[in-house]
Amino acid sequence: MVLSEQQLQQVTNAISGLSPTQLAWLGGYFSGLSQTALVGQVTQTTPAANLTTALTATVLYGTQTGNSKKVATELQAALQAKGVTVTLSNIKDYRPQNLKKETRLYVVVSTQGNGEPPDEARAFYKFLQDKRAPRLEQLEYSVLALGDSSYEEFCQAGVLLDARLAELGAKPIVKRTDCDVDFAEPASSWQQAVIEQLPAAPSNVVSLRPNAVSAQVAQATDSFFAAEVLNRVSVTASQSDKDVYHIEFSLEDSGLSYAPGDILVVKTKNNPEFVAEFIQALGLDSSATVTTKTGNSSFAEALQERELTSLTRKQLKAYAELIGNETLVAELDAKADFEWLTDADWIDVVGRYPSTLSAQQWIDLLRVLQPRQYSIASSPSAHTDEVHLLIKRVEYTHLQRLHRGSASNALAQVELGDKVEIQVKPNAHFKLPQDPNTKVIMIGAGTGVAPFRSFLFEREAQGITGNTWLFFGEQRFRTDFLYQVEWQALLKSGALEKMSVAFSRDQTQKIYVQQRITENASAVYEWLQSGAHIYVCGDMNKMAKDVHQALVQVLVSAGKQSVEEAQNTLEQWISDGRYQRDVY
Amino acid sequence: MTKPTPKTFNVMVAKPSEVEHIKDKSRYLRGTLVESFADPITGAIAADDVQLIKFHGAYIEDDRDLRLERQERKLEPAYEFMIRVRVPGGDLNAQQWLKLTAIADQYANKTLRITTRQAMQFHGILKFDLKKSIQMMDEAVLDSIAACGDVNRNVMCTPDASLSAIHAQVFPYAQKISEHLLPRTRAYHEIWLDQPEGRTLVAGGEPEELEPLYGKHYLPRKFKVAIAIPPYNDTDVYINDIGLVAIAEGEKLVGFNVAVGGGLGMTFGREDTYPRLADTIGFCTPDQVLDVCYQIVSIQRDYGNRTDRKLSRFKYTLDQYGLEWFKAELNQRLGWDLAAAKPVEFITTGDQFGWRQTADGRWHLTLRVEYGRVKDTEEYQLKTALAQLSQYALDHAWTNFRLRLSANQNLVIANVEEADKAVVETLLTRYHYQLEAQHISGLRRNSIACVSLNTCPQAMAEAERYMPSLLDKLEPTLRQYGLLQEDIKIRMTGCPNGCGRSVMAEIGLIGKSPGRYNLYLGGDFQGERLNKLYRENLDEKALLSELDQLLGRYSVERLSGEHFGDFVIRAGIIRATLVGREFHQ
Repeated sequence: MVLSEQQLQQVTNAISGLSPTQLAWLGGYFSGLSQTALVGQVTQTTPAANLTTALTATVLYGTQTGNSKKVATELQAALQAKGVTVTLSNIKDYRPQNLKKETRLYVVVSTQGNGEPPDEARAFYKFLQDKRAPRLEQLEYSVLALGDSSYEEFCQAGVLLDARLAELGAKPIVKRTDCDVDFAEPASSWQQAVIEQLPAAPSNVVSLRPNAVSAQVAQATDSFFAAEVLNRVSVTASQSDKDVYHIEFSLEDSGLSYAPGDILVVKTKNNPEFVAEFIQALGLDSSATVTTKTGNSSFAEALQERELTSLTRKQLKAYAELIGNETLVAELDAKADFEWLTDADWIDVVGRYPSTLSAQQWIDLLRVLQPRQYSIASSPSAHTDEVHLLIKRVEYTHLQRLHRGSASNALAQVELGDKVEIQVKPNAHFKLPQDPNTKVIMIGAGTGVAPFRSFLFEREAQGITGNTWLFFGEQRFRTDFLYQVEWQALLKSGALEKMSVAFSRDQTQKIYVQQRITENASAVYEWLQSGAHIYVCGDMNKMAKDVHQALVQVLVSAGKQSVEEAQNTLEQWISDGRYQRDVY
Repeated sequence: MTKPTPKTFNVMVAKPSEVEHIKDKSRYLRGTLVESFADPITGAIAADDVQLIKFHGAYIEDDRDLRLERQERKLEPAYEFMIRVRVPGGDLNAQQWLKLTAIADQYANKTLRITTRQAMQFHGILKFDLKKSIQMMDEAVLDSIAACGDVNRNVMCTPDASLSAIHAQVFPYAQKISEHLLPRTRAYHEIWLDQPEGRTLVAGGEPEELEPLYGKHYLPRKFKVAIAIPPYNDTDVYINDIGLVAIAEGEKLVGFNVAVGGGLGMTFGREDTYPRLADTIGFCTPDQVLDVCYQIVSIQRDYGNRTDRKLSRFKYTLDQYGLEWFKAELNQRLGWDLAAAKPVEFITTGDQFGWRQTADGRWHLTLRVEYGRVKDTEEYQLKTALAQLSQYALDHAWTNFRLRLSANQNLVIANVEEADKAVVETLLTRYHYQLEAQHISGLRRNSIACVSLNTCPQAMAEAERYMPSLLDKLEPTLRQYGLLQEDIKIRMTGCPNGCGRSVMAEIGLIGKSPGRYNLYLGGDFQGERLNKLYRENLDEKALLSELDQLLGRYSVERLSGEHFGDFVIRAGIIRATLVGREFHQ
């Protein structure tokens, strides 16, 4: 027992008659107290007095990966420590009609690769974008936008929301902050700005140390476990056009755990030969000393941890400015066509626009190499103490040069016994239904089938049979049927009830998973009618959109809905978490 | 002798083998083939269907070179199908050749394979393409019905019209006999050609007259028929269940000697299995020959062993019950007695290469095709040459033009008019193909190898892929002994099942394990004597050394005109095998 009986009695007396909101506030208050060593000094504070003067605020998060939730939760704690009564909610659980009653709103929202809001925020966005959306003059707000600047539509979900709230008359009290993948620092600054903007805090309330929150955010992305490679095997045939690898890591003694649907974050380094090629293209000295955030190192070493294989327009512009290429700056400003940039790396850039930069300037220009995220392919129940990944080795020719993905190639080359830095990232929005009797439709193309291996092995390990239907797409039956023998075994055991496959290049007309869905419209509809959950994993632009369309078609053809009704049904299912997507 | 008891038609025998059960419940060869071929998750088919698909002319195989890799990569074996086209007498017209080339290119491994029984075989067809391949055959009025399975297989007849004045009279019997002994079930047409269901299903029952010859259990095992026209025995007539030897009077076909009970397959480690040559039991006229074949098949249907498939070939039935019993049973079923056999003489089992003319003025060109593999290589492009020739023949209305497959895996370009010879020569030359076989050694000219690895599931060692390099190593020895142009018959098979007819060779090689072969000696050149095991489990070095010694002795000690296979017996190197039962002694 944490409290003595007497203490418990005192607490019970003190909180009798409080409303749920007040109790929630107290929760935050005590939590704030617990994080300071100065408990003794606040004993004179009279919580009851503060209750009457407390500000209220709502913090919403819309997340695909969990980062927004993390930041929002930190903000909640910081606000509560300032005596603010905070309602924290996932956007999907928030009734947008309540916006009219809100006075203070903070939204942390991530953006999907194509510039769309996360699936679970769609109903919220739809409500706001409607021409009947209410005026929100009473509302003060601020938006923290999370994104990845390697995408063209960087932070677009946040940008849109910010613009629309302002359009509806709400006042932006703290300017929107757009965060790139290394969001910890800007998120922390935004949070501080939010806190500083608050009206003067009620007296005697002890605030947290200002850096505590950001330190926590940063820490979350720093703790990696060096996992031993147990197996690395190609799972496409040697005659395949592609190279896909199954990799197994040991989690023994890692303290890490995961659930099916979760994500593995993997930190790798650039290939030293590739770094050497880049340095040669620059004509610089690989042993030159450069200073990074973590101290001094050689140029070559530092480059192993910089993003070299991809770059953004923004970075190209920064580079153009540094080399003083005004024409290029002007072209970039004029939004001239830079199609070549999409698949280009920095060697391509310096080939076209020779570098005049020093080693240090390069280190300052280049982004830190980001850990890569992959859907976990294993089941914690079936593959005890292991975590598996399914990785497509990225290799393509662009601008007459062979380009190789940094992380996928590093992983494709790991040897048994090597250690790789990993971290588990929960993915609350890609989870099997709680009720094992709920039907499950899984749609995955290419390596997008990985989480379904996790799902199905988990169900098998738990002795759950039936109610699962897997749609899988790849190029060729003979060479690319990823995990073929495992699906066959799962079908045999009954953990997998049905499997439909589409091999696009086995016939003259290409056939994809979406065709298999529409071909099976009545059966798919039947499953949906009986409450099936839908899971989609794979490439967003190439596949998820087409699958969505196919689902619309199923509802139209078999369910006799209008296209609009079908769209709404799917939107609703997205909001309800019945239609979950893990797309990239 | 055991007193024979016939099987009751459409009733299972007492202790049936597994395959008998499969046939019994197959609804006349339908099984679950439709379901198996619709299953998109595997390239394989259900276990029972693996047996049944043979009756439709196909075998499931897998690329054995890829087995280990695929196992490691979580992929099932690279399942694929071999399909064998039924080509009685190996006779194909230009349009059929073009279709077969298209099947090779679109669905198979881009090669056509002439078999040792004059059929055309494709390898590497994915399950999902098999139906399309069969439909493509059908467009050229070809099928694969009964090309494999426990039925009468492709009927052979010498393809070379230039070899005999009566060829034109004899040749059509290959087609006639094949048709006469075909299964009557509609399963093939339903499953592959989407034709309406046969009477069995419509009626709900299984009328017995549906398969008047075979019944629902078909034969105990495969059954083979061949025709030879003396003095050429290129079809190896005595290795067949029924060997028909055409008898001429002047330039007229008067009938056939009937020989029964040939068959080459055996199982290592079971001395009760052995190759056996057919015994000549009599003579029949051309108008009797269909009935003779039919009744012989029916006897094997009723008396063959259906318990142990290793002993279920017709040859064992004959050895079990005796030839006299068989003749009596046959005569009874025929309702008349076979006449006495006529004397015949054979001189060779080989093909005669190069251009040859027939009395009608037409020309015939026999090309050597290395182990029957029609393909394009960097060195030569035979597949392209033949496809273009066929197209030319179609375009120029060469109505008599034929491409004929020989039992020695070679090809006869048949019925070319004098004026068109140049076209044939130009095309072959353009694609770097030799018109003659004089440029290669006599040993190579007379060599046969079965398909074996990497596709045949039975293979224990290489054959087709290895034979050329083995010959490369043997030829210096031949040169050294002055034997380079000597006709010596060498044959290699990757297992003891006999597709390459190794036990009929003067130098027979049968694979035991990768890189190891048994060496058999003493077969004759004209196909009338089996050979015998000489050395076991030889690796290449040991094999070359043995052959070096044997050929060295042959070059010095042979009599004038004496074939190698006769020499080794006369010299006491090996004992002659006079009957199949003594093969292992």
